[in-house]
Amino acid sequence: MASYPENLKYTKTHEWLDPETGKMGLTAFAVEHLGDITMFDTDKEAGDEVEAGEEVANVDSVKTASAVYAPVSGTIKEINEDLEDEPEAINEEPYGRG
Amino acid sequence: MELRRGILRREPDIFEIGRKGHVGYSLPGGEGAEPSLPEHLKRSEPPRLPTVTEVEAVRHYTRLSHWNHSVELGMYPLGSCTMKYNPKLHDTLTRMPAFSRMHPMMDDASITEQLELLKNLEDALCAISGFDAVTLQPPAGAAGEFTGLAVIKAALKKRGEADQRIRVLVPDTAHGTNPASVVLNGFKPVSVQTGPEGYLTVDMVREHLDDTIAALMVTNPNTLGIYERELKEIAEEVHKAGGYVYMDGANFNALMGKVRPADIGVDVMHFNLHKTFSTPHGGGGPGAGPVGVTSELEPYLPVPRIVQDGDDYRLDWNREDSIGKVHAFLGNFDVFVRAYAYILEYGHHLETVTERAVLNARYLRARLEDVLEIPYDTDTLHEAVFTDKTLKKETGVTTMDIAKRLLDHGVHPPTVYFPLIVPGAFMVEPTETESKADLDYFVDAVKSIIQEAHENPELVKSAPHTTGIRRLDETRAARKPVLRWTPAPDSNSQ
Repeated sequence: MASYPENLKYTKTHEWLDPETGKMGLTAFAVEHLGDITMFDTDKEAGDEVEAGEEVANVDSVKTASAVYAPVSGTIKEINEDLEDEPEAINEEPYGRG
Repeated sequence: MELRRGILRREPDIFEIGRKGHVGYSLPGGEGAEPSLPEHLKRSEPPRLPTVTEVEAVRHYTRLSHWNHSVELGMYPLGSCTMKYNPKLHDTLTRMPAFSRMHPMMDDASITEQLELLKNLEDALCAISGFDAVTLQPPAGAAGEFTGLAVIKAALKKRGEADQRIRVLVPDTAHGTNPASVVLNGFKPVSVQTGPEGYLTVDMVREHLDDTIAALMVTNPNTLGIYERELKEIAEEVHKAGGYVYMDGANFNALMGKVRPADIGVDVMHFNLHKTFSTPHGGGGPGAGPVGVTSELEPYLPVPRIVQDGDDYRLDWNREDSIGKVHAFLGNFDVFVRAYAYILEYGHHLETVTERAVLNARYLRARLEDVLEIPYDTDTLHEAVFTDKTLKKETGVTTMDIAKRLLDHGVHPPTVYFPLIVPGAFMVEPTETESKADLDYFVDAVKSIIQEAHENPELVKSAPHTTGIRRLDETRAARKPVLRWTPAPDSNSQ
């Protein structure tokens, strides 16, 4: 069953945000419904400013393609570039490596 | 000795079939002749071609072709695709020399009868839909969407509002190509949520209306198979706000002869001749996505337009407001011959096609709703969408597993995981050409699979078991695709 760590904040569009570190990702619920994720793609770079609700990345899964939205406004500090080679990390550890 | 005739359960690839010295071609000058090419154009090493004779190559691909499923082999209830049977008579008609020996560069005067056929088809589509003008050019449904929205863009430009009106409302039950067509035309898609009963409501659309609206792009019936019953009032509101209404007509098989979209306020619609009007499709075409418009939008249709001059027909290129050409020559001509023949065959009884298509889909829904959940209670038309929600919880068996297991019953799987607003969607469109016996066969197959899901879920999860190729690892294929053949170490070929 999908889990939802209590220290994280969640959006209606199934992203999570860690208010301590500023890290974000997709929730276990989103990942379960997407199925096996086959591609992660973003045209954003570290230093880019984004607004809450803005599309920041795309994920493809065996079922569908889906947009990932910024949970809050701010500046991107870092992008998890491992995901471009290893999108399965999103399935395996949605709150960790993914 | 290995069996190598008839249809094989395991077909080696063409390189594995190869035998040293087998060739299927001859080069000018005979064996060993040097091609007369400049040095820098010559390969440094010979290409890796399969070493097979012509007949070996033909047999290999013919054997492979027998693995295909088609509507001529069995039921093909692929939701949203309207995979109806295509009468053989239509193929015969397209082979008439007047059609098959036509050359695209012939001048108008030599093809006036063929142009008359196209004009008659345009007029028939106008009569069926209520529109004032139709262009036949777009070669597919999505090409029709692109053309229709380009026409809207041109009209807005003429009104001087193209910079201001940039938003196109797209309900979440629309076809997946709709938002893409919106973006390709430089508009911005705005997703509109479907109402609680599975159709759009006037109130939900009204919230989005202002002077930046270019159009509403609605699929009707929508991808849940539900008729957009408030569309007439919605269209009035969109018009009041200064926008146009585009209707995706891919599901027109549920409306033909019953509803004329122009009568309920639709300004532009594309038809899918390869769905509703029974022309072959699959494998990428060819199709045809004619676009119908009201007289207000007629000046913007693609050139050339087919016009009547006394007894003759010719192409008119002189349209200053036209968006231009969207396809080479006359479009996919053979498709038009088939669709026109279909319309003439049914004549004033086209509505019986619609009635039977809806009856078949509702029969399937009624017989399956006690074993598969229905996400919306609202009545549906030409297709039915189920969800695997409860089944997945109880047995672990998913929509994809049922789809794969259906292959063992010789049935093409329905559309899966679409529309996106239904989790684990299983979208069935039987079309009117299936008999009650075939529908019952499908129902029995699905019911037996659901029974298996409860008694022996592994059997369903590992399906298919009787096809030439078993279940593929779709995840690995998408994550680590092998797009280029490389020789196996023990390959026979050179």
